[in-house]
Amino acid sequence: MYATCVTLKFTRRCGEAARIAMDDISAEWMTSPVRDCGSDNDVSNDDDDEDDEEEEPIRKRSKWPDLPIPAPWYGETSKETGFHRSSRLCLNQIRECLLEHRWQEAAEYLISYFQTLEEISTPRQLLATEIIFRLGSEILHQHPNSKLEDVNHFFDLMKNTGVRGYLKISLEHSFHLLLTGNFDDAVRQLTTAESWRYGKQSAVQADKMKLIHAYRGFLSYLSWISKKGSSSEDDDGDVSAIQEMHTYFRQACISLQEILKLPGVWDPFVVGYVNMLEFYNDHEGALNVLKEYAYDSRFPPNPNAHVYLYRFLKRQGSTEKKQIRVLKILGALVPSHELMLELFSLLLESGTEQSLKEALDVLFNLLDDCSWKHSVAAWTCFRNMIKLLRRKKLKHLLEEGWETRKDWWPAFHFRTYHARADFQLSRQLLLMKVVVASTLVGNKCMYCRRKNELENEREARRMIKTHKKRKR
Amino acid sequence: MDSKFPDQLFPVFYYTGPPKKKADCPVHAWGLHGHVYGNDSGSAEVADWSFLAQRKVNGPTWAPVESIVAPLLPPKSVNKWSSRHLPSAMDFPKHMQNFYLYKSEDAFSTMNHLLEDHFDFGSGELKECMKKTTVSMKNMERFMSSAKFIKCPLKPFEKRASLYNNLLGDVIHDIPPGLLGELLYEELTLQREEKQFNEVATGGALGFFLISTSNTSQEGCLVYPRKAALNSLNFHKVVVEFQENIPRPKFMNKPINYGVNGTIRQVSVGPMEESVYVGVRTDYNCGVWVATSAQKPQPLDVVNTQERATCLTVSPHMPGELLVASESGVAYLWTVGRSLQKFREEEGNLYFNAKSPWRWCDFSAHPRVMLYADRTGLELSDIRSKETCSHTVFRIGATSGCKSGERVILSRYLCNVNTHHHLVTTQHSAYIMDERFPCLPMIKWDHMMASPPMFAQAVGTASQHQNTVILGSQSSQELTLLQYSGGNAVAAQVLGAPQKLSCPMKSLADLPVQIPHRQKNVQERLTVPAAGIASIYYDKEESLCVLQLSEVGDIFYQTLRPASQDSLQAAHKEMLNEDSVTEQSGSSPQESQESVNNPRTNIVSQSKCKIVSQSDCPPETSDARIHGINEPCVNMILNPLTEQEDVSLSKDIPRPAKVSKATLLKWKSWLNVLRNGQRSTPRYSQLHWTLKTKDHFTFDGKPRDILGKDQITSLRNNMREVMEKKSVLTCGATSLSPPEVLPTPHPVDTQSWGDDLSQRLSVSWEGGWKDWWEEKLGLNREKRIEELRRKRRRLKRTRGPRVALSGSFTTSASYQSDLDGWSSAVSDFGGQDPDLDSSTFSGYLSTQEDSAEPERTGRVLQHEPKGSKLSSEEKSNVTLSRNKAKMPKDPSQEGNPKAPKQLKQDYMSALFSSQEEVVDAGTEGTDFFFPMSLSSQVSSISNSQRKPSLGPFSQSSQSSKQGKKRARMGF
Repeated sequence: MYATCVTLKFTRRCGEAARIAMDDISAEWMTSPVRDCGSDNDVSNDDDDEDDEEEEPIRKRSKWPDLPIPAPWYGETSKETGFHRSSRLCLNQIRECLLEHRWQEAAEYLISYFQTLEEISTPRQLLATEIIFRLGSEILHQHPNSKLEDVNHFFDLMKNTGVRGYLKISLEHSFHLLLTGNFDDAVRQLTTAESWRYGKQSAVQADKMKLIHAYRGFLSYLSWISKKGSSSEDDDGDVSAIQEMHTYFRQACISLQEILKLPGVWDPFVVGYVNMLEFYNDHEGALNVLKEYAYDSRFPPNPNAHVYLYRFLKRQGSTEKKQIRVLKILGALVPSHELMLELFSLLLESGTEQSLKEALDVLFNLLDDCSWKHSVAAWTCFRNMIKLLRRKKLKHLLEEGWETRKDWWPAFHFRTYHARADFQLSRQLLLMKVVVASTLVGNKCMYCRRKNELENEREARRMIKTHKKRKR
Repeated sequence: MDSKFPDQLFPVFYYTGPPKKKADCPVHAWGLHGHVYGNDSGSAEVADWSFLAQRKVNGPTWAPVESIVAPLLPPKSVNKWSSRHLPSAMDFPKHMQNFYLYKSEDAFSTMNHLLEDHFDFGSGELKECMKKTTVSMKNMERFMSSAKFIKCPLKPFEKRASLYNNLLGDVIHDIPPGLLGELLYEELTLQREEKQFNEVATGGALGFFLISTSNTSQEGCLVYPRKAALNSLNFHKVVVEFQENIPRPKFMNKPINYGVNGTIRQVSVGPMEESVYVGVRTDYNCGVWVATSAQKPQPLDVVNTQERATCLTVSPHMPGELLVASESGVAYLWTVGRSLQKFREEEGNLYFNAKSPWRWCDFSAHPRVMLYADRTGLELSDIRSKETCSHTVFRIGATSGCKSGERVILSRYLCNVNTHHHLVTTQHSAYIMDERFPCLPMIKWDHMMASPPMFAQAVGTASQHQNTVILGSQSSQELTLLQYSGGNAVAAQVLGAPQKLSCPMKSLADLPVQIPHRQKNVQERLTVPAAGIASIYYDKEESLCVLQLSEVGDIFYQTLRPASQDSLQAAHKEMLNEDSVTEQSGSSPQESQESVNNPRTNIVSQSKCKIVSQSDCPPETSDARIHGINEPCVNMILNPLTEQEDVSLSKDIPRPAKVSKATLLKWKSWLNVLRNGQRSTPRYSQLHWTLKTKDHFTFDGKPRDILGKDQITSLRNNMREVMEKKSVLTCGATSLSPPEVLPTPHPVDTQSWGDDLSQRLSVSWEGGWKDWWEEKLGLNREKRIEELRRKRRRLKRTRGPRVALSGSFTTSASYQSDLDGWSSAVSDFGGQDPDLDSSTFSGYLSTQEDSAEPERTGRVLQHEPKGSKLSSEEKSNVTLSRNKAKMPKDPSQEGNPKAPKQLKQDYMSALFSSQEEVVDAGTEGTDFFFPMSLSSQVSSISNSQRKPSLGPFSQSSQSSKQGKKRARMGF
């Protein structure tokens, strides 16, 4: 009860403070409307040694080494007024409480911290807004007695405390609503935020706006999916439902198209967009989107982009050659990707010597990575490969691949310790690996010897067991 | 499982270029969800969709079993541990002075030898030819003797000093002062920086490997450095056992130690397979030990590097492989038994010039691909190919959302958590990088630590799919616990908020208090920077033990257990109970009093009033009003909210201040050992002469308290309750009987003392010492006679008009008798004690009525003493003021200039001048005390109202100057 009161109290206090801050800020901004207050997008920063000093060689013990110590923002400054001092101390207290997960206490301190919104200088006030938003929402998320209404109320108040945070807080608010299962409210939030306008926007705000559009599109896509599901269930082709579905599709398309042009990771958006395009039989468009996403050099090297493209091609039933090409690129990027097993089987199917060589390379690369060390599937593939190569009399391929690995694979895969560990994990694994080990290293390797011992032990144990049973 | 890559990643913008953000907002760890995506559950209903946030705000948490850390080892006596004082680089002149004064041999020896012949010490006859080129030492000595003064050694010889300086300044020093100063300055700067951030300790010199696990305990081996210089490597078996359901690490057997040539900077431990490899790095040497579960650890190999080694990592994949990096920028693969194999060399920093020679390397998921790092970023390089083939994993820049000035502090390959994950820490953040998708961090935390995290531990807890990362910093000893999940099938997700663990520095507060100098000693010892951390995870009982090594070799540990939902709910219930208590107290009639004391309640209660009546705003002081908040409006807006808010006098939730007895005992013995170690040093053994008092004061051992044991315990309980409530312990709240009220002593009656001395003393106490003497010696006889005469004359004069005046005052019927009483009293007093404390109001009146004649004042004031309730202080002040100030005005004095009397008066005044002066100041003070601006009306009203005895005075004054003050007749 008490805790609710605290949370309520601070949402209320925040409201009071927010009003004042709003007044002050609008006054300040009216006098200097062009001023760009975003410290985040202040590109002309005086940092950094970044590119300008590239030529100068570093001295071994330079006279002024750059100490990587953060500036003590929490420290006392010389020109500190009592107001700043108390707010600094208060903030430190809140931080301490939050770091030690004492949410209730932090909530109480935060009530006092709202007075920092009365700060006269605009940058400080903006900072105070940001801090209060962060701390307040965290406390509301963690507080045992906070309710959704409190959070909503707090978000609504903070949104209008200064203009800078509006988009960010709206987005955050909609996330919160989504996570708490209020889909429709989240959509409403985003729609409101979408139509928000404010004179000059900083770069950060512009990006936030794009994100809001994108998420709005994504939510439209989700509505589209649910409509699709219900209409397919009904199956009587309700025109209005289809119409509605189409509206959602158009909404989603427009927003998602926009965000996919910008470099970034947009996995959920791409998946949704392609899904919709496929539904409306725009395969060409979908392929273009995926290719753009995978091959545009402005984008980060996202393995998933290639995975989506490959899956799309597979769904479309395109030629193996195309699929292999996509997977090869993925293999160059992530040699240990799980789709490499599919690449392996695809290469095996083509059956030429060249492709066999490539398949073997794929397999070798896969097993180089320590995450595949204990994979039965991978080692089974290797065993099969060896059998195939023996049959086709292409054992020299194996030699080639082994050449670069023979100095470290025995220690990496085929120690006695591995034999025991593999045996404990699965006998299948041990048997597969033994075949590979005996082929690559030789029959007398540690692994094989240990395997024989283990097998003998197992036999012996089984014998004893059966013997005992018989006795009974 | 690790081979899987997340199907979908959280949406994020991909920026390129240098970092754009500035380190401004110190709260980035909190508040945001990051991004969200929907999990395709295949359901048609939107309500069934599950959404995944980049930061899951309510994650599983670890709760410390005890609120403080506990020492694992008895403290080693270290002669000196450096205090936390940071040397200032501007102190270099002081150091130079010390050098010249105390190391003069080193400073001037060369010139000393050269000039030896040219100085005459008076030892022998000088040759003729030498006389011109020789300086006598006598002058020199005189000059030198003045140099002992540190303030300005050369002042008396300023001119000669400058001459000497001109002559010899350039040549006399072995090391030119300019150079020496520069070097010293540099050295001091360096020392200061090393104290703030000593990068050689990166990685931490504490290691642990597991030997065996059973259902009830876990056996492992702790590798730690010991001795004052941390140059002895110890392997010590540790058993984690459950005592009273609390896991505690305990040392078994004796440690196996090896001496190492140099301070141990880093201990790196490989995974336990058949055997475990332990790498140890000192500044210029790296060594490797091998240990098995059965055998004693054995040293295997040592290498030495030209430049200082900065990194040593044991391979998690291959036995006997290590990586070494040094300040030269070269990274080597070191296979035990073989020489170093260079695989990467970088002259400069990777991405921009960070002016740092620090290098780091680590392994990756591929045993032949190594991670090479410096302050600017991380790269993977394939050691199989001859030419450098590398790609970026992480770089300081906008891509990973870095702030300007951010630098890589540590990177660690999290093999035991996820084979593709790397942890990168900077001053502001910690990142989880996936080497399959480089550049963009999978997870970014703001760790909120004051000093950069140099040590890291990662624990993968398979049962809950949550990975725990513990970061440790050096100078501030902080330990921060971060958690994340995913990274395989689903995208990596941050769990909860960063959590701060307790550190030795803060534990002192919860320990029993000691004698101040010991407390200081212990405090200094506990604030020594950390040198490494280790963690022991026990999966059978789900507990995590975090160990922390300090730079003097102390090891402290704390145990964490997952905070179960039950315990959280219990805490919540406890809190609710407390609430109900506070609610009751809040609704009690004392609320109004409380609201005065507590501003918070004040606001609440006030806002409550306003809901009832929004129009009126009570002019009481409140926070809101002071800060100019327009409360009524806000309240109107927030009415529905405030209505729910009945009372919320909140209570601090007490911190989990649970310290078990076992831990306290451990600390006690630790402190004892520390103290004894201190005492044994000979320097302190005979500091002062002590006297044994043991036999002098016998103590029967029984408590002298009159209270019984029960009473004391109940009293203690009361005290504790009261302290929790943060209120005052009053007698009523306890079971004690109320204390007896002592009567105030009787006022001293000075009249009862008849002897001279007593009288004089009591008079002089009131400042009438001079008058008493005058009275005693009969110096003021004439004055008195004169005064009496005047009095009589005045009485005669006033008798006439008073009768006439009395007619106008109808109210004062008993006037005449009153006055008679007064006059008789006056005469009584006048006879015995003429100066009286009479002129009590003289100063006051003189300001009130300037035109008042001295005669009249004198007379009037003689009425005062009886009715006066003024303090004696005021009285005395005023008394003397009359003596001084009024005397020259006195017409009788002016009229009778009698020479011998005057002379006597002069003597007396000279004798007593000091007293008079003091009193004078006092008089002025009183004058000021009743300022002119204070209208005479007000004061007269109040006086007349308070003291009806003043009636005659006002009448008489009016009678004397009726014409002037007619307006006041009404009174």
